[in-house]
Amino acid sequence: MLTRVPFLRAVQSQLLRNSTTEVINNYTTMSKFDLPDRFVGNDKSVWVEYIQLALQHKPVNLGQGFPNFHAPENVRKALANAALNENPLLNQYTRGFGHPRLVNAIAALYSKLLSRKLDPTTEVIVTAGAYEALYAAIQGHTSPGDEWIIIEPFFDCYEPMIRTAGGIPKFIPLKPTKNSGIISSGDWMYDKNEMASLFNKRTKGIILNTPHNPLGKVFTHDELSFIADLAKKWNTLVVSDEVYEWMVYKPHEHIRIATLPDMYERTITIGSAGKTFSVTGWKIGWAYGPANLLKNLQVVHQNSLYTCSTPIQEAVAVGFEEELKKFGQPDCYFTSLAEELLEKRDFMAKFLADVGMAPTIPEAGYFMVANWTQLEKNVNLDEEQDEYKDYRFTKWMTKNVGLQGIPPSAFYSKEHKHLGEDNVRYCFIKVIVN
Amino acid sequence: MKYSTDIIINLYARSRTMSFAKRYKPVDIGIGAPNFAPPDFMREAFINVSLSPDYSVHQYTRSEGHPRLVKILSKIYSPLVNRELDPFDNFVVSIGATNSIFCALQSLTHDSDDEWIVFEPHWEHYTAMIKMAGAKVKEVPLKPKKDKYSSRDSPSSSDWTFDRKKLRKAFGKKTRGVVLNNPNNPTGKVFNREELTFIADLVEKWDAIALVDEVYEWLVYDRNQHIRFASLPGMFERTITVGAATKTYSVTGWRVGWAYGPAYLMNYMKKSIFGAIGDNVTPSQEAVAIGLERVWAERSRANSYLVKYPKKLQIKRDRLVSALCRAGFVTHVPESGYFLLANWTGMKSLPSYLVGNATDSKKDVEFVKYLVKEVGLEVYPGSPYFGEKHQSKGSDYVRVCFVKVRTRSV
Repeated sequence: MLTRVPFLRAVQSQLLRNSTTEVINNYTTMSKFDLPDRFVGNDKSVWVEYIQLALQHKPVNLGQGFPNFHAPENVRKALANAALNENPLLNQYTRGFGHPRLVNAIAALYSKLLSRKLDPTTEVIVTAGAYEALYAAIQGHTSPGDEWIIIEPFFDCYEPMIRTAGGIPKFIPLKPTKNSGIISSGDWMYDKNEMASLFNKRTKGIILNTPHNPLGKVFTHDELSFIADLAKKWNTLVVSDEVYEWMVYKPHEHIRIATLPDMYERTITIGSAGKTFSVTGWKIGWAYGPANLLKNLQVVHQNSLYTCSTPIQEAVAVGFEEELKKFGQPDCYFTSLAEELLEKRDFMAKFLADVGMAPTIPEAGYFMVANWTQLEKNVNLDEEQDEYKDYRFTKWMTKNVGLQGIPPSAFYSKEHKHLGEDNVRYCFIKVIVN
Repeated sequence: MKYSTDIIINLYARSRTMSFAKRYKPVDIGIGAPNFAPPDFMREAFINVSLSPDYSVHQYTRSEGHPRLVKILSKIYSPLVNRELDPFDNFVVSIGATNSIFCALQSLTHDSDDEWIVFEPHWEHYTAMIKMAGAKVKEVPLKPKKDKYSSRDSPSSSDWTFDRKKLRKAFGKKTRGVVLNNPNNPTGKVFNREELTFIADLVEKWDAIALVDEVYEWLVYDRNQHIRFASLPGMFERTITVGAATKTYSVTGWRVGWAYGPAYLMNYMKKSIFGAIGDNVTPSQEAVAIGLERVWAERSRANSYLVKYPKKLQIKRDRLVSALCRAGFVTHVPESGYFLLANWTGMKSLPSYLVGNATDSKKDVEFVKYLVKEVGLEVYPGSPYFGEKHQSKGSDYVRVCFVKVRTRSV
């Protein structure tokens, strides 16, 4: 093993050498075409690096989050039917702000969940994944100098999206309130005084992610109300990323902040077909909220993407229609998915505890964060060069143990990265329980 | 909200006639989408992918482009631009060509002094996208050779060209680049070698970039030849070429577009695409890849899809041209694409409110409403394709799409 390591390091540095810089240097005469400042730091760093690492070392890859099992048969069939259908228009452009059948289905579902009638044409927009919905919401609602509050750890695209739009991110961490015994994602909390101190008259909004990635935290009514009251007090938006809404483990319950008193008017809620139906490659997401707020998203969407795939939207619509009929029953995918995942979660938690880590048991989602510091004496972190310990740990584990996770410090702002260093994130959706 | 009202007005300008059309349910020959199914080999590919025993075709793939798709794209385009293109370094895939253009403009615009040159008439989103990237638009008009044509003239889209002096004057130190749409929407023009070389020399002289939208590259009629800008001497290093499966294979709804160019420009595109959408659609990319592999395999056959399909569209074009001429339009016969521009102002028996008053820049909107209501045909008003200064010139025209025209053989 020791003889392998220097060799691997050489290969790795070869692989990770920044090819962009190299190419730019070849074109010094064209410095006029360097990447604009607002994109600097917009690289997919952790993903590019860890996908490459996985290709090189072929570990058990529990890094990136996507299923290794089939999407439900009915939605796959619905997709084939869209292409087979005698209506040729299912292969052609559809309405830019969302295929009519799909926005109707989305409006029907959330009208029920919010106990409010949503207008499918003005209060719902379909986007290229939840990712584009976030992009359109942030681009469409940010003027230079606007402040956005981000709760750490966070899905790493929030920060560059805000900066690219000319906004200023302000960060507040969730911290574990417990250090021993079984730790639940519910034990990770934000400090209320700190939260209140971040709001001011420059605050455009707060990005909320519940259920939360990577912790799996489901924000409680009390936590949401506190945020809602601040949003109302300072007249700000709430962008609520709820893509894991159907992966909540009993007895926890997902509360949509848009359902809190007087919050619908200031909330843009984002969902994902990729997460809802285990089809991450379909890239269909949506946002819903009041028409005046969604109009800004329409402007961005129309000029950046125009319209999403028609057959895929048709298939997602069929999926929703069928699940709506089964809503609340045990065979409804919205219910059964979480139950299937529960077994994997428990298996993963036990596995991590057995090897000596301290996992945070997620109340939702398919990621698990675990404190690995008890293993520090068994791993040789000096073999890795990275600045943050969790990067060194995860790389060492990939190369020497064949298990790959993601370093959570990637999900913190620069000044708070040390808060993530003791942990590792694993995705357990791919775990096979036998 | 940082967008100026003119972008929003531009956005909703067309929706006015669209919502009007909804009330009357006319035959829509305005929008550029076929009303027929994709070719069987494309449909079959999509169905097989949907039901594939491989679960991974429904999950995330490589963000910058599905490996199977970029590999076949590099095979197809390498001989067309006379150089070996690397599937991973020289290509990015996007959700439709639209997103490639958006991301190129985003990643190449530095500040509000930057200027992009656009030929008008143009696809209306170009200017909105340039403004969203924070840059200024410099429009250079394409104009027909004659000021006035009679219905007997039957002019061609090749009559439309740019004033060389005006283009030379448009370039300057602030020029980031030029957006070129060739083959062109809405005129159907195919730029000739002399025109392209003139543009290329200016691009070189001012150290600029060419963002070339070639989504109609395979739909060229008669004996016209489409010349890829990136194949001109010295231009590959400064060109981002945008293409799509959309128009060629009648899959406007699948949303698979791409861009190719030198690695350093593609790197910027990758960052910008990652910032906006993150990933592409896996099953659509897999299906397009399978379809393109077949197109590649049959490339030397005389009856290949890429030979047959433009012939089919040419028949549709001719039918529409003669119908419009009979109705009194002066039609500029397109050399390519889906669309043509028809001047309607010389038509006889127009209602009096549409005659005269040449300064009214919205009269095409009124004319389109009249067509929808009285004739049951929906076309698009011409003015949105023209810049602010030339709206009234543009309102002499309507844009008509001939892809939906019925022919006996289709």
